[in-house]
Amino acid sequence: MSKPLKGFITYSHKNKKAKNKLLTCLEPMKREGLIDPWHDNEIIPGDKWREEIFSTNLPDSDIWLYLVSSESLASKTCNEELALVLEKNITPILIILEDCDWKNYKLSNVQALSTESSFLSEWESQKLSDFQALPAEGRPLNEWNPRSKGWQSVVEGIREVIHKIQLQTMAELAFKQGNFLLTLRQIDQAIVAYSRAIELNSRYTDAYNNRGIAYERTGNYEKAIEDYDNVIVLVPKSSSAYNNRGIIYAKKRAYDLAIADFNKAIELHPVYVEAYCNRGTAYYLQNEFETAIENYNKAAVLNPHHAGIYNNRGATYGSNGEHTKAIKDFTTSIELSPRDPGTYNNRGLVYANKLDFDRAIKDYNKAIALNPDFANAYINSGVAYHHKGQYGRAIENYNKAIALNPDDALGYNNRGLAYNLNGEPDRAIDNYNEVIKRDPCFPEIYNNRGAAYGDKGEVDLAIRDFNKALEFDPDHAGTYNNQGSAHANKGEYDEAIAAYTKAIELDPKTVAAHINRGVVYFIKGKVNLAIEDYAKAMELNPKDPIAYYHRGAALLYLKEWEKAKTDLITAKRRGVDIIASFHNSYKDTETYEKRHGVKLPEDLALLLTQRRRDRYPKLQKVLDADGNPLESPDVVNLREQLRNAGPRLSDYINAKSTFGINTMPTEVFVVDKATRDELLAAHPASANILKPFLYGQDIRRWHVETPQQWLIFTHRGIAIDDYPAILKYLEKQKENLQKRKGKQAWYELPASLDHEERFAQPKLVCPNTYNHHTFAVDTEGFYYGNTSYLIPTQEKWLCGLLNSRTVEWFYSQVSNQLTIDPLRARSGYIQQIPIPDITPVHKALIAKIVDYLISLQQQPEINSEDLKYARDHVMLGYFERVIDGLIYEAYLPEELHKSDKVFLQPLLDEGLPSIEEIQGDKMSAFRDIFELLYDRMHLVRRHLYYLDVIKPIRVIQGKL
Amino acid sequence: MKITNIEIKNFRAFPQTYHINLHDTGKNLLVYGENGSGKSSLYLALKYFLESSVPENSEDNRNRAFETHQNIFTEDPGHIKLRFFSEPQREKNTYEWSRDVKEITDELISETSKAKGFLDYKVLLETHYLHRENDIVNLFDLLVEVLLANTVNPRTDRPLTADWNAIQPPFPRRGAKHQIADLERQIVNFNRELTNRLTELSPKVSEILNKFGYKVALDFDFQGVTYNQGEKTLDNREILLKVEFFDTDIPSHHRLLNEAKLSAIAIAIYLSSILCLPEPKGGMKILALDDVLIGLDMSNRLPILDILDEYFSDYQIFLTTYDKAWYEIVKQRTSRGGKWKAVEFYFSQTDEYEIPVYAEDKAYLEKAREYLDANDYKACAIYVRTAFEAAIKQYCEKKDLAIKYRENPKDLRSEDFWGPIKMETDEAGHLLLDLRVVDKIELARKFILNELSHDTFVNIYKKELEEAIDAVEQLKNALA
Repeated sequence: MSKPLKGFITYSHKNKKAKNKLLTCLEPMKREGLIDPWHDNEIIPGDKWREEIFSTNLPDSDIWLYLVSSESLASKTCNEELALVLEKNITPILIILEDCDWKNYKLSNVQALSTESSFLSEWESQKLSDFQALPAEGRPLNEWNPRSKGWQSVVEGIREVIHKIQLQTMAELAFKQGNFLLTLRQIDQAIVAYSRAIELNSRYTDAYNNRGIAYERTGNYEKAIEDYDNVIVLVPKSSSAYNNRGIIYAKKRAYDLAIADFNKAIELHPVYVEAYCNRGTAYYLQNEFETAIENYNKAAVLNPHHAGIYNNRGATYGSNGEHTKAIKDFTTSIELSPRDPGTYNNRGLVYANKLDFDRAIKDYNKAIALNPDFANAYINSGVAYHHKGQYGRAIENYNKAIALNPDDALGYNNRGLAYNLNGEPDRAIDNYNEVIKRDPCFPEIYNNRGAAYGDKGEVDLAIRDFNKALEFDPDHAGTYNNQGSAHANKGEYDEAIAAYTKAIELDPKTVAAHINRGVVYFIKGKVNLAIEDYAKAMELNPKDPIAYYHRGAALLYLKEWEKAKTDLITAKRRGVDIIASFHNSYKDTETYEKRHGVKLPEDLALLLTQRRRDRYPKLQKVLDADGNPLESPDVVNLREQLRNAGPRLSDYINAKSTFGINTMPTEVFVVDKATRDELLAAHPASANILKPFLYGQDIRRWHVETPQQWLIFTHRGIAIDDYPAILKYLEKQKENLQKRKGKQAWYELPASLDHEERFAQPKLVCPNTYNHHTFAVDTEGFYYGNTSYLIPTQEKWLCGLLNSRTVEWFYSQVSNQLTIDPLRARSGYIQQIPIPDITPVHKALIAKIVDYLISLQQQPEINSEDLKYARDHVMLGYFERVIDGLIYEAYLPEELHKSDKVFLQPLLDEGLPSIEEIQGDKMSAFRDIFELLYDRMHLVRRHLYYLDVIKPIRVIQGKL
Repeated sequence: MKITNIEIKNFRAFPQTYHINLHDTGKNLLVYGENGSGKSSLYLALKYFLESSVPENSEDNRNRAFETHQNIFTEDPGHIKLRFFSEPQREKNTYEWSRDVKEITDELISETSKAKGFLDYKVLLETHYLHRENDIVNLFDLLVEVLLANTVNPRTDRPLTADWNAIQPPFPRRGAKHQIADLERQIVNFNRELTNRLTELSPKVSEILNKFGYKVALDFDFQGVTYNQGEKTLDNREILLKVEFFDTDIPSHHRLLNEAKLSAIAIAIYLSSILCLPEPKGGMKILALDDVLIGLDMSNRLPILDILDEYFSDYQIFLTTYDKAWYEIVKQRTSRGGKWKAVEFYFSQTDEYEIPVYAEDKAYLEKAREYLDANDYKACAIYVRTAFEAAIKQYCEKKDLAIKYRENPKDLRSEDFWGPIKMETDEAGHLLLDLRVVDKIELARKFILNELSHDTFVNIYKKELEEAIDAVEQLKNALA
């Protein structure tokens, strides 16, 4: 049983009798322990009585029993006591003794007596009649007959009030118990306690309010709203109820209702910090960041020390991409409330968004230290490590997140991503499958799994996943990009381009799709489109070096060497391993050249070549980092072997090889047929110095055509007056001719009469630049300009030798030239060519076939592009190969004999006719010889086909 | 010279040491093997072994390194060892290709490699992509990029593909007269070479096709590739088949060039190109055909044995197939004379359920149909079987059906899943599967859906396969 209530009796001393009657009436209740009455009789008379009343007894009372009469209403002490009762919120009971004006007695009358005026203002408009009055209906006791009935009514009234107060106390007890349980997070029991409090006191607003909070914690938002509704019905001006209900609405994503409630709360209580804060959050959740920030600002002005406000505003700034402001707010929030893991996590996220992953990870770690079960912080930490490329650490973090929250698909998804990037697509796929198990609609999950399948090389599964992903999200540029790559891997380039194009349409700023599409265009040979895409990628992200590499590679195709070099070097400087990238696509630069039919300039070839000791670029005497020559011993040995095969060409022919003569200005000295005819007509002796003339570019392999232009051969010391027509012709250009340097007269060529003899003799000629060795036999005594090189000899077999692959290889070696550019005839090197010491029979056989070739070159079939003469061309090439065979045998007799691949004897055995011996249709004779030697069973054919099993031959043929 | 012994260790599908004795006479080898059993690994072992002696001729430089073929389940370095016996010198020589012996530097082996004929079924799959219109087939890509790709141009000493690649993009910019002239000269030379090659081939191709049972004279119509300066493209990439029919009984010509016949044509072209190679001087001749006859009807397969007899009698031949029926026929036909040896490769037991059955079974049936249409019955059967196994395994997994316990889950056989499914009932106690479906599956299992047994002679017929596909489709629907 609860303690008896303390009842304070206020009365006028005039009504002492009534007071005693009341005490008598309360006596049974006193014995029942319901009430413990107190009145001023018990004060020891003296100056301390006042203190007794106002400091101790009255404030401690639960019930105030006021015996109302005209005297008590007039009493100063009585009014003072009334004021204190109002102030201390003691339950007042009026006991009306007699008719008096109590009903109109205004409580404001007691105001002057109050110590704290603010409280009394609440009562200003109220009257005494608003209190409970006894006996029933406030009928004065002196009107009751018998009067005992009146007193009985008073006693019953007091009993009722006591009962009510007792219930109220129990309700309060239950309420307090509820609060206690709530703090212990025993929420269900808290709800039971609050419900009991409400049962005991159906108007218990605090209990409704707190039960609402408890319901909210259990997620039972409907019940919570009901409770706040009750509060609002009971106290329509309860700003906190509106605020709390607003929170629930916000949690239910009914933001309009929530904001309406916060508005109401703020209207009722204009300095309600939390309501501003909450309204801000409601706007934030609707992505109305500016409005949200306005609200937070307002809240922060009202309470600058509220950590939550800064946290929320920070989150809003962060979501709005205002990282610096966000970090500042989070930092303030952390300063105000340093143990909130959420704020650290939030600041970490902003750092991560700023790509400052180290700071981010630090914050996540703080968050985890404060709350070791903070699964999201683990996930965020994993993401940060992921971005740092530390996939192992990322996976560790995801593992923890998954252990804490095994039903959350996100952890699996992220772990899958990390595994995939860690090169473990199988484990990635396992994780993605876990995601799908938990949430088949997880964003991008099929895209992710598709990418993993793609990495595994299971392109079809990948494409299937991408299609599925696009069902969920038809506008996902990344998926299209991935799909494109899958198609590209399958070799379905058109599909790939379509997918990349779609990705670019959806996300015009995607760098990856541009580069990828470029690569596919490139593969398809649409190099210009590829370059456009790469350029776009660079424009979008000027720091992306990959695009530079690809554009450089594309420019190589276009032979835009300088631009290619710039791009490749840029890529290299920015960290792309361009050599590795290049070798992903091509074994080496030679493969590249072969495949695309281009020759890389030396510097580019070097740029793209791995400097390793076991690679042998053709360039001579290039040393590697350790100073060793980058040459295969096979190459070095062969070069030396050839060099020692016999005397040098210059010694062998024992005559001086020279270039032709300088005929500048050729438009003057070289004349066409019409001019020549005019000159001859004017003066027939002009013929003596009009010589058939050839430029280097006119020379073909084996044979030179009879020229259709003539050189005015005015050698030094010529008697020009013997040639008046010529002199007259030259005089027209006298001024020009005089400008030439040199000792010659204005009408002379810078050439002596010796040249006449030099040109007249049989010779081999070649242009000064050529792709393949292009020597021809000239027995006609033609004249040549200085773009030709002349070797005076009548040994035709030397033409076969000089045009052979062996000599071409040797020349490219010793002349220190790369085979990338056209070769240049350099006298010094040509004269170094060793002439093997072979038998006259051997030479004669070579010369015989050289004759065949000279003749063949003049046949109309050979000069026709009609494919019906295709085989005749094969014949021409085959005869050249036969000469090659004979030359191999000349230079490398031992190697060929050892391998039993000889040419001389089998050819001699055939007794081939010399060109002079061939009567009638030469072409058909050649064809017969060709068919004979070309037969798959003929030794010459067999030896030629299998010749490259011999190592030096492979070197010469460029197959090593 | 002949190969007398083959030893393969830790190479691709061979996890241990595998030894094949072809005896001193160097017998031909007939291999039956399931997909994945190592038959293609044997084919590649021989191919790469030989090509390691002429590295620049290997079609893919990556194949030069033995390491790239190392069996993935073992660290122990592997090797391929071949022993050759040369008759005149009565000499035996063993050659090795391995991680340590990267390159075989023997001229005879190099020559053997240059004279060899190696054709695999993947090449013939290309015939499925040929564009056809009213019997006009353009063989250009198939010939230039596949069948004749590695034949050497006697003029340039390089493979035809190299000549072809030399005239590929990027093309010179417009107005670069010199470069365009150079390109056009190369194109003309390419055209000449290809024309000449086709002229050499066509009589031989017709001859071999006739042996296959196709009474046709075949010629190629190649007008030459041209360079279109305006568009910067290579035009007229066309080699059209000109077919002349001797047998006028064929009622509708448009049916002539189905995939089977195109397969035969492709094989004939390839064999002809091998027959046109110059006779090797000291090396030997090897012909290896990996599953290339699968696209042919049985009636057109048998002649290949005659063709091999007639044209390739001096070759050492390696013939592989995953068609058990065909294997049995060849085995029987070649059993006399002692020139052939037959071996069979099988999955090891643990590999049985290696097929990723959970990877979307729908695709399996589609694949099965594709192969059926391509007359590749064996492949079709494998896919139907896989679809069947996937369906029943998935269902058991989904319904958590009680399945016979096996210590090693890989030992589970399809019967273990199929048995419980057959007995499965719905809530009303009715059998889940229509008995007609069950019967169909049972029938199909006898021939198709079960592993082929090792010694019985099994033939797969198209009709049965169609029915099996149907049955599995119905089963899938019933279990869905």
